[in-house]
Amino acid sequence: MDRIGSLPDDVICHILSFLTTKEAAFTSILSKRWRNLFTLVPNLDIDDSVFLIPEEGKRERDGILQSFMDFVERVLASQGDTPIKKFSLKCKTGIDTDRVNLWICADTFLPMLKTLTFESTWWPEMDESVSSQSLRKLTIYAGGFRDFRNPKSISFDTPNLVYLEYSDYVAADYPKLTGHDIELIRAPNDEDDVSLRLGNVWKLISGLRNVQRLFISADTLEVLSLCCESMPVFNNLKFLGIISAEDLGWQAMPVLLRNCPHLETLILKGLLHYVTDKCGDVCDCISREDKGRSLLSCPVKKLEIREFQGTVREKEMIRHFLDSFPCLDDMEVYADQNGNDPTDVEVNRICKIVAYKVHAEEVSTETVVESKSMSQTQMEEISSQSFSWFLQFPRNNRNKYNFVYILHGAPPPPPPQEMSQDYLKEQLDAAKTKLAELNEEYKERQRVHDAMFDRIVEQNPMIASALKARQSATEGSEASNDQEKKRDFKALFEIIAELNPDLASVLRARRGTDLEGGETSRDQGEMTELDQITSEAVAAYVLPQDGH
Amino acid sequence: MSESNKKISLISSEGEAFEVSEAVAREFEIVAHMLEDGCSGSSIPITTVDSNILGKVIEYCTKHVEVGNVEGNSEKAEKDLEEFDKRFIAVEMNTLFSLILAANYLNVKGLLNIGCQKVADTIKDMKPEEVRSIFNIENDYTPAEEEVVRKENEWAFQP
Repeated sequence: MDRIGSLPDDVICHILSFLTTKEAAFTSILSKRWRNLFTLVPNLDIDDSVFLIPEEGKRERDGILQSFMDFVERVLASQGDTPIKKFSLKCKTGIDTDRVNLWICADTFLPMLKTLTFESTWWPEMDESVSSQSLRKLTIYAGGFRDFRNPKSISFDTPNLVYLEYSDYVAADYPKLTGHDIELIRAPNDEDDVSLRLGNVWKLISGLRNVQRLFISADTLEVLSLCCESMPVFNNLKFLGIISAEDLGWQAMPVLLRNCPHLETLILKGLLHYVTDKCGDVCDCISREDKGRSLLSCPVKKLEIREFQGTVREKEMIRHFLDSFPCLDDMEVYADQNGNDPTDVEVNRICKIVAYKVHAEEVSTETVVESKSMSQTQMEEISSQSFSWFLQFPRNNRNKYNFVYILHGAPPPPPPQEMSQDYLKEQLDAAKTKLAELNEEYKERQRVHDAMFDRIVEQNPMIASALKARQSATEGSEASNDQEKKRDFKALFEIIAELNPDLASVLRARRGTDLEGGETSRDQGEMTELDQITSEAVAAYVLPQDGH
Repeated sequence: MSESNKKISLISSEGEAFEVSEAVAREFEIVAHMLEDGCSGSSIPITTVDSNILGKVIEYCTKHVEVGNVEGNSEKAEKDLEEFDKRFIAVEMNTLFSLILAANYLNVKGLLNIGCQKVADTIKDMKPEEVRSIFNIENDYTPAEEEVVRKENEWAFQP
């Protein structure tokens, strides 16, 4: 029976909606019933790198691009009863810009579109406008025009937008940005080296002044320093997230914090930043008279610090925050799991530090170990270590905090790495180095064994002669000129065993330990088995090889 | 809450009764609607679902109701639930399709999603012949028709 055939069309479409459009379109070949099922899926998820790039030259082949663009238009045109609600388009180059512009001018084709994701290295070459009545979630990652000029003008006419994620070179102008009650935005990931015509950034930011949640990248933060004077007041903003980078400054930080009168949660991803002459207000990089002024008026209740690296500067800054934020109730610090120096045991043990405000006279610190596979004694041993010195308490007497240090039970697992070319190469290099090391180690062991062999033969004339007798009995002409090097462990072993059973067992034990790296206590049966294997292996390596 | 103590019997296609709390029964949107429409009987026949599958769907809903009721530590709870879903949906194809059909009929959104996701993951990297064989789909295209479809969606097919 046709198993999947028992499912109704809408369930099959639901299944196909978990695939990219390319994967879904692939099912059109299965049977007649499937031919158009994928066009009924309410999501369009198109990434041209997936279908154009993997094969060299495919993009250039006649008709491929045409086939693709025709396809997009066919799907857009044939939505019928199941209008597209989610449209994700990632395209690099080579697609007809006018047509793309038409696709993303959403009202034309996509009256019910709720989510639009557009990712490209370029904007269509004209003044760009995203306009949709229905759109609620918009994500744009672009990189300026094809020739890396800044886009001239970008407007968002999206009255129902609640989510905007936007990353691009700064456009020369942002004439319009509508959308009430935008909930979450990652503002432009602007490139600061494009310093021309940045004067209109404030229009973009100003259009966002009603947001409730705002995320700002490190680059954007620096670009914002150019419009500190015209920074709007974010009356609705409750949630502000800021990514920091060591080579980018915090000039816009004071005015941002001052202009969020209802901020509740502040997330700082990274604390380290480039020190500029504007520092010393929010941060305490430079000492100045009005130090902490912008913090004193900030009503933030919850501070979250991510990617903490445990440097002195970060610790000082955290103490400064605890000192200065007047309303802060909770602080959570998460250690950086990826970028830390692996030898820095303390930071790597920390999973999370929690501080909460107390009104008692005395403050406390507590250490908690988070562990799944750990014995009671290990837990107790770690719990007894105090981390109370790790972060300093606030200096002033107004704010008092209890600290809880939550530690990893075991060292944190290494971060999952992407299987990128670089990563694979790194792994290969590491493996090669390891192999070279092992080879060295093996040679060293071989020398030890050879020395042992020689000593035994030297000290026991009886064995030496027995060995000689065996050798001349077994071997032909070929190896006789290389006598010195030939050490037949197997023969030696057998001779010794014949002559002296006690010595044999000692040798056996020794060899077992040598080769197994210190595992001494094995039962007898296993030992014998091991010895057979190892003596053969040793013999195989020790014997001069062909061509030597 | 008082209403969560109320028991409801769900009757499978074989006539077997499964007694569940109202909160669990409400995870079946179809049942929730019946209850809201004033259908107040304490036993509800689910005639299209057999005992084996109904039992599984109830297991799924019970777990999700339990976890949903626990306050706090939501991160861990979510992780546990994800693990549970993963184990729960790792079943052979016939059972998987029966579960999807039942979830679709009973309107249990979460279960429908993980079921469909599972099928999607399964067919993702397969050749058309493989997909046809695991789902027993009969290829009713003539070679000429197949060529037309291939041409139509050329960009989606490997060379």
